[in-house]
Amino acid sequence: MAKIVGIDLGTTNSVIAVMEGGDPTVIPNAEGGRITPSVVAFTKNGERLVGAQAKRQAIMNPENTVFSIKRFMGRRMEETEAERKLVPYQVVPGPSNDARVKLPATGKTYTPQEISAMILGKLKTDAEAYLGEPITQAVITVPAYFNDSQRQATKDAGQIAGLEVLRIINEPTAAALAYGLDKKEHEQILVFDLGGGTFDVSILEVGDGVIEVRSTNGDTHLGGDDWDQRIVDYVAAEFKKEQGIDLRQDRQALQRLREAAEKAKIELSQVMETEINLPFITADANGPKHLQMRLTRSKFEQLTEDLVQRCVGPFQQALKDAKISASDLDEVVLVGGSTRMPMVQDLVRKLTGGKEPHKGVNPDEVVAVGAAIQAGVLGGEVKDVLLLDVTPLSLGVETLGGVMTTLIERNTTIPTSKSEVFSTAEDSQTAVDIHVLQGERPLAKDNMTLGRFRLDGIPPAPRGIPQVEVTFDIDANGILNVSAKDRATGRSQKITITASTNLNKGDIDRLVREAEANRQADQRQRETIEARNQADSMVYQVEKMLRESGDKVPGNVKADIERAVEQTKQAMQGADPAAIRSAMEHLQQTTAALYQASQGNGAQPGPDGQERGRGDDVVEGEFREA
Amino acid sequence: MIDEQVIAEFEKEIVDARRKADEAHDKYLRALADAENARKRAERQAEMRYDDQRRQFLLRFLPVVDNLERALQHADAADGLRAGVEMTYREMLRALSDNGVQREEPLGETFDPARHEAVEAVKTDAPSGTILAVLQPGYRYGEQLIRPARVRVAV
Repeated sequence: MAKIVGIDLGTTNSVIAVMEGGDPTVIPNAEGGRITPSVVAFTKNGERLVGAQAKRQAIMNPENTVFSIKRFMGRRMEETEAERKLVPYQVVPGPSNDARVKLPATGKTYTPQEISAMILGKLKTDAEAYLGEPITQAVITVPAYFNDSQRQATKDAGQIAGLEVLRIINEPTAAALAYGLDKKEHEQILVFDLGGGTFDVSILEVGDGVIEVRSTNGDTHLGGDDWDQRIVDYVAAEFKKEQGIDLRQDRQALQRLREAAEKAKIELSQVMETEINLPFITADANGPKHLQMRLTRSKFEQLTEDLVQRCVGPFQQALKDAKISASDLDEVVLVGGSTRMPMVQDLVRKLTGGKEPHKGVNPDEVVAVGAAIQAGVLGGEVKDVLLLDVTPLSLGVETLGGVMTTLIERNTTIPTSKSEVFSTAEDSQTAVDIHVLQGERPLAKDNMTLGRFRLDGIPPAPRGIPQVEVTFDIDANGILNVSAKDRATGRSQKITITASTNLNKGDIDRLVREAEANRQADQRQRETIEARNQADSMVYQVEKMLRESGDKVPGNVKADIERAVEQTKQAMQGADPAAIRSAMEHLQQTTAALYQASQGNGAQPGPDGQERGRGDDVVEGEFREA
Repeated sequence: MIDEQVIAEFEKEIVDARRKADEAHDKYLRALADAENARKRAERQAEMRYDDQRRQFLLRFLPVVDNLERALQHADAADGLRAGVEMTYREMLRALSDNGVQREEPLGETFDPARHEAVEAVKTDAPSGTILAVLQPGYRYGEQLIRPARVRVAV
């Protein structure tokens, strides 16, 4: 099934996202960026550039570089007077007095739809390369205040780009969808969107799965760039006071200062104070000059106080138009990178009477994420995902020392199958008990027993030699089959368990919570058991070698070793893993002589006392004696 | 003599069974393809994440190299300190190049927006698009652009 994408076609930047395995994912462009500048350019030789590359050549080709095209979408010439003054390219009237751009590089006139289609085209092409399949359908977002003509223009842009636009949705609605707010009943939602260059505030009402825009307001020329500019102005003024040089007259210095200002702004969202360091920023007759300045968050907030205040008017007006008061708001959603600034978050909190905004989705991507979720619903992807079941709890078997060894982890998508090879715990053990368990606790006794069976007829052999392959298989209906097979004889036994997913949601949540609460105690207990198992294995090996080496070991050495074995056995009675490990270490030191005597005479315990090298797929779990 | 009706029923069943088998096989193939695509994408995603981390890491360091270059431009040639700074700078460049990071100073080349960023445009006699000055060198890691070179371009 072809994927449907969600696109946030923005004034300055655009983002494209898709549902992947039930989760919305932002698709990076060919250059690896998650955000693509909404810029289109034609070079002198007619080559078309979109995104970062178009932006990089803007200064040498301003009349052929189109940015902010969204401000002209579906607009008539007379509506664009203010905007026209702010762009370096030529805006001309079309046949029905609609605004179009004229680019000398190609000598052609383009509708804003065509320019937007070029942006959409790059997003589409890059996403196709990423997903490895063609994309033909999309959900595109527009500002809530877009009128029919602007919405139609956006739809047309999609069509020109080869995309069937299944739905045009409002940006604030998409942001609310990203947080799943469409499932709320009769709530008022505030969406506060402060981007790089525009500010939008919307009041939404949700009920019966429908989100309705009650009111919208904003400032089409207010954004993060204004905050950067305040830092630039302040730092440049301070530098001029100290050094008598105006950095704003020096292009290169100004560019470095702009970057440093943006970096400082971002840092001040995390820390209370930052340092702006620009060595060799300029020079005069006395030599090089350096710029070094501390900027505190409070100073920054002071510098931008009026910008923050400019958000208040539109907010109040939006409330008034929606005919509600701030206390009626149930949810707050923040959109746009500038809402990361603590001063903006504080303002929103203050205006809404202390309401905590939703967090978790990147504010630069939240609109595209919401559009992708809408696309997923339209494409049935979201429904599809529910058909795939997962195992709610881990499944495994009990192994030596009462430990649960997990074969299938919780949340594994079914159908699935997993095998592991186990061995015996005692010499000449001829049967193993398979104790099938479900749960998240490390110890068998704390988990739920799903069933037990016995595999017998294993030919007598030293412990660790027989190979018993245990297979867990869950089919699409959630039915669990557990089988055990002795590799040497081919004998096998199996059990079918149908109740493995019959727990209700409450039970599952409780079991997972319990596992969480008991983690530390369980961990220690498991460590003790593991240490005991290792010690047991080591004692077994040492005793075996002592027997086999006979008189080759001097009497006093033998006595030392026997004493160390006794000490280890004693430590194994206790519950302190550290004590067991230290006894094992001592045992290992005393047996060094024994290893030499028995070299080439069979296996020796590894450094941790475990037996290894029995075959690649043999795990270190062993069944208890049957 | 076999009853024709029985034959017809069998034939219908066979057709049905074939159709079901075809459908199931199709679903199976799609599931396999989905899994394979997801795996490939996960691999590529891991690679992209790694590329991005390297880029972010290098981007934070390159201004230090820039400042060493600025220091050298201002230093007096006869100064012993300058020689030391220059050695430090060369060592830094070698460390970068040993790790696959190439410095680019495209003076005199033709502007390419895939690798260069125009920060100044000047009308001169030089052919349009010629890079007249490199104001800040660019860096790349193999095919990956870490930072475009900032240039002054003839228009």
